[in-house]
Amino acid sequence: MHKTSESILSTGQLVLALIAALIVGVGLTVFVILPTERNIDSEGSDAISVVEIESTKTESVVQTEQEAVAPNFDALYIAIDPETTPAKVDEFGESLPVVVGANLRVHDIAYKSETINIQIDADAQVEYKAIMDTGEALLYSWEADGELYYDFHAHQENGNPQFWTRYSEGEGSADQGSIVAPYQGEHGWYWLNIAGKAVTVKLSVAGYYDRIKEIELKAAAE
Amino acid sequence: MIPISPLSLRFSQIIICALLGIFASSIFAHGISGGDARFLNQNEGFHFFIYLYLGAKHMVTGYDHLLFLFGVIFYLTTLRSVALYVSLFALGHSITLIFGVLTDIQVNVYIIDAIIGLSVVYKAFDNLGGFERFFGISANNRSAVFIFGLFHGFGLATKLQEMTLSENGLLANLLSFNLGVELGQIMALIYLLLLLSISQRITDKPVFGISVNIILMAGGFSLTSYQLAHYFAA
Repeated sequence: MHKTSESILSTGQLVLALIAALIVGVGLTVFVILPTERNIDSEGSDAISVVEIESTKTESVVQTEQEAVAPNFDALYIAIDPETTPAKVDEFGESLPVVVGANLRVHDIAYKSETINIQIDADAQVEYKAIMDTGEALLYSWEADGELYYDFHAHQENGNPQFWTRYSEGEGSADQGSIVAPYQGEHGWYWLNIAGKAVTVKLSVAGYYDRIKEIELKAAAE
Repeated sequence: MIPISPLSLRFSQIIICALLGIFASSIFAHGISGGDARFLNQNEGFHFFIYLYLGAKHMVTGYDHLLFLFGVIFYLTTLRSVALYVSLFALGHSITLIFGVLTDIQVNVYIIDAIIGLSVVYKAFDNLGGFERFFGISANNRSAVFIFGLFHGFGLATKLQEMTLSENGLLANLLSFNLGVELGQIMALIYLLLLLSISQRITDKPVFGISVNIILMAGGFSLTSYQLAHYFAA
């Protein structure tokens, strides 16, 4: 049934053919197919270019950390304009998603939420902090029945006492927002009562943090 | 190789042009791609034509199956033997396709595809007379084609299992997919036989068959190393 070529090829020629095929086949995969595939992945589409923006930003953060320069705050998320970003369509004309991994954070620890009412006497000060790990996210909102000076800031828990960072400071009776912790430590609010009367602050927090603790302040403000 | 009359040649050409038209949009796709996968995930119940189409598409665009099939029929001289070997291959892959999905056997897709790549190497080396030269006897071709058919079936099964298949109408859908695979195989066979027939018209020197099978072997090694690279990267 077969008209194979066994009578033509010698043992040596067969081994040579096997080795040549192995080298050519594996070489084709290693030097042509796999590199091409990588190029398709990193340059192929507009959706991927969004991811590239993210990775460049991440790189720049790493770089600035190494150079001890001010971090790039834009790296926390990316914004996309749906009007100018091209929609993606598959071979059947069905729409495909534009992947925005930079804006997603997946957290291992349990979701928490709590509301605390804090009494502050006239001219007194308090400090409340959320203990958070790097990358954990917190939503907050606070409201007071009088004017307060606030300093929304963070320290390392047992690190260099000279080093601290500030999210915002100001005077007012309410604030709300969200943060992603840039490092492991205490992230929260110093409040000084400047209302001239006792004030109650209602602080609501939700998200991914270890716990809320009150920081003991040693002396009164100057 | 099969002598094809001018009349049947023209008929084959018409069929092939039609098939190429149908599958041109997805000729480089392998496996079950985005839109098809989403359709399978979202739709419950029995969908004969969808699964038939998917099966046929998978076979026609699955170059690993095609290379093996090409190796199997390369030195066959009669349509009867082509039918016999292709039936053995179909029987082998149908068994593992159906039982693999029904019993939910999980096999690593890269390992299976690497073995499918090796099946191409095996067949090409066998065509070169390698097994006869090294072991004195040629392996039993019928059982080899059947056994490699079993591996190809696992490959088909893993592709289907990547989708969330609903229990509702599973067997009927599976049989439709399998039928599609066989239809796709027949379509691909027409194409391959025509290719062999044309090549025979151009040259009947033994060096041609040797060259083609060495290239086929390289293709098999390429497929295998590609799948292994992905296996170790994953």
